[in-house]
Amino acid sequence: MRIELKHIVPAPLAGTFSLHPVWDQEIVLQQPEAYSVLAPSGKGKSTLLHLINGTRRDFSGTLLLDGRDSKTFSDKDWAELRAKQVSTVFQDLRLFPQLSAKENIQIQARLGAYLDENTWLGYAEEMGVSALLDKPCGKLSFGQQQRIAILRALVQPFEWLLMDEPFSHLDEENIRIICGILEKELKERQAGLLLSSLGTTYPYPFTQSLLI
Amino acid sequence: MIRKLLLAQQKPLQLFITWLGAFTGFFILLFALQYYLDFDELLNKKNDWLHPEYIVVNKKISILSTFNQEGNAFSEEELQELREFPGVEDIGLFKSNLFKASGTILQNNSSAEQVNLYAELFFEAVPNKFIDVQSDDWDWEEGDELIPIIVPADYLKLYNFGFAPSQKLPQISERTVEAFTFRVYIDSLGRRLSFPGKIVGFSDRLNSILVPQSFLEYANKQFAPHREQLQPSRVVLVVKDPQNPALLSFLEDKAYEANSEQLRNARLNNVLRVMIGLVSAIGLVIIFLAILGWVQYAQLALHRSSYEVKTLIELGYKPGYLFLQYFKWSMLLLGSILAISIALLMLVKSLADEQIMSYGFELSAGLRPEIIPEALLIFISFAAIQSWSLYRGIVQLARPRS
Repeated sequence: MRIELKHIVPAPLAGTFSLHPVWDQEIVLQQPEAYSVLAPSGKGKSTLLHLINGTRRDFSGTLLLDGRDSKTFSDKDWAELRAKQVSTVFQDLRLFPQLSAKENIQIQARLGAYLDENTWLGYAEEMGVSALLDKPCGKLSFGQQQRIAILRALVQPFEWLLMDEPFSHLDEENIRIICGILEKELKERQAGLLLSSLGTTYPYPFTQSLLI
Repeated sequence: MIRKLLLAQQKPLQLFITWLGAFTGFFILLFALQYYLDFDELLNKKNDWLHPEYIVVNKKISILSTFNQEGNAFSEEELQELREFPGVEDIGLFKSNLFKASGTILQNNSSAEQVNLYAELFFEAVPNKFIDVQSDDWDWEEGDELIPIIVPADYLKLYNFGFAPSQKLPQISERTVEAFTFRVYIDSLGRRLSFPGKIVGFSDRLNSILVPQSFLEYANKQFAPHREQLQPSRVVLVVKDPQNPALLSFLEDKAYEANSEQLRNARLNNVLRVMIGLVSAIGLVIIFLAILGWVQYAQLALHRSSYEVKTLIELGYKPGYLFLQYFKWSMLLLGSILAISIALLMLVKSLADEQIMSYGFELSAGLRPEIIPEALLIFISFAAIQSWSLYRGIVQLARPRS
């Protein structure tokens, strides 16, 4: 999916800048590029990701997804897009605390899974969370929950993976393992990546950087 | 799993109270309609063949008239006045016996004439067209032995529901009474003559012991040749509309008493209509509150699960799919209300009817067919209002967080 940002200014940022590398510019994001989105807090990293998956729609300018104006999308269109084209790891994860880790992943898989169960169970093993799968998510640490949320995002089919500060509570070893899995999965799917961070460098072969 | 997630935040007690409210309203409305139709049929059944309608009129008994028998009789002028009153189509005069009569009931199969009950009797007669009993036996010609008799239906009710229970006697049906044989004694000129008598029917309309007019005329001439036929003290009017206010006020002005089953039924009908109307109104208010409560509960349930709904939508679930989960759940609850109220109505009806029938009312068994559309109507309004509210709520949650 081709993502075109045409003079987009998120409503909360209107009038707060004169010249900006992303906002109010014409930018095209292409598959299978991997973008590192870098910015300090409050500059709109999350906003950029939320614009693309439709969880924020308060902006001026035009967002074209595969050439189609996002303003014309219905709730059903957004649902289709989120289930098949754009997978997101939210900063606040948005897991269901009362369901087990496994159920959280299965709930996503019900919409159509790209990975079979054995594959993602293997990834869980690599990430060191396979023993936690039957525990309610609410009982897991934030770092453990981050890994479950990443697994959930990988299970579904996607053309773009949006990750909003996904490694904030993970140690270096875990980050290295996950980056390895991401690299493999994204290459296989020829998918694009938008990964936001506060400036930390991760062991991932990003092809582009977006400074916000 | 999705439904488990969406409905995990329910409060069972709140849900039960909401359910109970809706159930109560639902049940009361079905109950009111059922019994309204039942009693409507009961009260109007008897009127079906009563077109035109009949009113029995007599003069009010006063202290003065107690001492003056003629005072209770209608004079020729008064009869003429009634006959000519607008709306009166026909008038039937009651003739009474001028001889002394008495009777006994005989045991059915006794060979000896064993007396069980003895009573002094009076007879009256009106032309056949005024009588509401249709019987092949209602006929008498000179030379016939058997005297057919019609007694008021109230007599039997009085016996069955008043006398018999208090004396621990068995209740008897109209059929049984019609199988009894009577012996009628007529005392005339120092002689006692005996005739077999038979009750051939029970009249709701005429509160009198009736014999065929041909018999009464013959017997009066035969057994009281020196007495003159008295002016009638009761007449039966055939009218188009027994509720006609002009007629009612005329009767009132003349101090005449009117007695008609239609008037009684009309009054009973009105009381019943008011009562059932009241019950229906209460049912409607409850249903209205129940719908409100139901909608609020649905919104609350949705609100409690708003995180789950929003998140599922952000994961790619369609709002319509989530709505369907809630819809199925609420249909299940509504369906249980529908099924249980109808089951309860059937139970209540079978129990209550037993009681009601012991008071002498014949209600038709089973639920009214009209109950089905009524139940469906309430069901559909509930479902529609709730679905609309739920769908709107979910679509609102589907909009982005800001």
